This record gives sequence, C-alpha cells and structure tokens, in this order.
Amino acid sequence: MTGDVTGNAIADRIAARLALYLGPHTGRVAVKTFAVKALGRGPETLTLGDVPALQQALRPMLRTFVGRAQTEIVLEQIARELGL
Amino acid sequence: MRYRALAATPAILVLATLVAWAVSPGAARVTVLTAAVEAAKVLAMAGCILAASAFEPGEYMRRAWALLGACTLLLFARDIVALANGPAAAQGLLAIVGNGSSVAGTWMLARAWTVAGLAEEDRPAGRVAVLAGAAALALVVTGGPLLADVRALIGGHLLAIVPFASDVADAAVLILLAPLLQTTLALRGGALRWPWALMTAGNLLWLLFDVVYAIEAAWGLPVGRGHFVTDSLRVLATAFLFSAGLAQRWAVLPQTRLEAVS
Repeated sequence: MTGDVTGNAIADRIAARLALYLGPHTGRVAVKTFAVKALGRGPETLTLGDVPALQQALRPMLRTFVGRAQTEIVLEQIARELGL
Repeated sequence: MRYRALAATPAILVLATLVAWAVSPGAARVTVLTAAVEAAKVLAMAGCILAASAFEPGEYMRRAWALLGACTLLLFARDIVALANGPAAAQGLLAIVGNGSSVAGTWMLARAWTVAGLAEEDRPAGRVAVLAGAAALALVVTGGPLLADVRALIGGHLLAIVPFASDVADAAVLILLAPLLQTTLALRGGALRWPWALMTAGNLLWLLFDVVYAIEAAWGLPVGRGHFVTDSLRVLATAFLFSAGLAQRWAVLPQTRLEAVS
C-alpha cells in the first residue's frame, strides 16, 4: 500500500476528492493505480483529456467502497472541480 | 466528532451494564447480563441493516453487511431458543449457520481492498507474512479448544460439532483481522476508515474474549453465560458491530454532508 504526491494539479485534485473517503494516502494510490491501468502512464502525466478515462477506471473501485449512487456523485464532483 | 461518539458507544453500553449489574440484587445479576448481551445483539442487527441499506441491491458491501446482520440475527435466535429451553440441535444449527455468516461477511469486508482493485501496489510477501502471523496467533488462541472439540467428536459426541464450528469460525475471523487492520490503516484520514476501524476493534475484542475464556477455563473458573467479565466483553464486541454499521452508513451519505463532518 504505497503512494506519493504526483506534482500534477489534476491528479492531486482528484486524489484530494477521493481522500474524503479513502484518506490522502489511498486517494493518491488510487489515482496512480488507475491512471496506469487506464492510460498506461503515471498520474504526473495527466491532462484534462485523460480525466473521462480515469473516471471510468475509478468507477468499479468507488462502487465497491461507497456504492453506485455515491460513486456517480463523486465522479460528477471531480468533473465539476476540473471544469469539465 | 460524531464518529468518535460512535466509537465510544460500546464503552458507554458496558458502563451502563456495570451500573445495572452493581445495583441489582444477586439473583437478578445474571438476568441483567443476559439482557445486556441480547440488547447489544439487537443493536448490532440494526447497525448491519442500516449499513446494508446504504447500498443498492447486489452491491458488494450490501452483501457483506447483510451477511454480518444475518450472523447476529441467527445468534440472537439461538439465544432465544436456548432461553426457551429449545432443542439443542436447533440451537446448534443456528449457531453453525450464524458463525458461517460471520466468517463470510468478515471475509468480504477484509477482501474489499482487493476487490476494489487496490491490491496491485501491495507487496505480496508482506501480505503473506502478516496473514501468517495472524494465523499463528489464531492457532495459539483457538488451538486448545479446537483440539478438545476434535477429541469430543472422535469420542462420539456429535453435538461437539457446534463448538467445533464456532472455534473454526473464531480462528477464521482472527486470521481476517490482519487484512481488516491493513485496510483500516490504508484508509486513515478518510471517512471509510471508521467502519473498518470499528469492525477491527470489535474483532480484537472477540480475540480478547477468547483469551479470557481460555484462561478462565484453564484455571477451572466457571465459564459460559452469566459471568461479568466474559459477558461484558460480549456486549463490548457486539456493540462495536453496531458502531461499525452506523459508521459505514454515515460514510456513504451524500458528500456534501460528508465534507461537513470530516
């Protein structure tokens, strides 16, 4: 269970949103894990164009922990915060 | 703040039990303890129902909490059958299925981290080492009673299957303490740490219960229902399931409220 600060503003905003539920450590781990899984590269490379794919990848993880309804709220908040 | 109040609730219940026990006449003390244990089970059932209903049908965590709720319901039903001097076979069946539900529900909570796809960054060797440590601890705590149950079964005492199943379930839940604790630590700082932390605390108390029970039995002290120390631990551990269930529900409330309480 490892993770570190990305230095990428988009990744850090998403991690901060996830941290409300998962804590800051796992929030960062989740962004890193699912960025690599969905995009094939690390969170430090995230652009706004990558966010929909990352949201899609985060969805099953969030559903496990907080359920479908709350997952959609969280993902929508992420999109809104990033101006999407 | 309200999560901390939730964490303190089991201790408050035990204090209330202590006061009621202390002021009761000798003959009524066993009744006070029995009532406290059963009240804690009703609370735990409520907690599990509240947690499960925070998720939609078919969702992973709903199934996990439903299994934990089923465990409490079945063990409560076992107690009612026992209080009514019902058949031992019925009590045994309820206890076995109840313990099975407990293991299944705890296993699901312990596996949530992996099911969510977050285990890929973990070091497998570290996970195996922690699990092995927990298994060794479980064997130390439950090994003696398990051996006694096996001897009784071999000796032809068929009803020994009930304590055997209960001890196997205890061992399994103790082993699952390791992934529960790992998940709690990984979620530190987030609202979801609370259900896992409170669940872990409850299971640690069941571990303590098993240790105290084994020591009392080894010293030839009276064990079973109606004894203050073991029944207090039962109330405390069971009430933590209530707190964990309610914490789970609160943690998945709409995020606007979550932000206000975190």
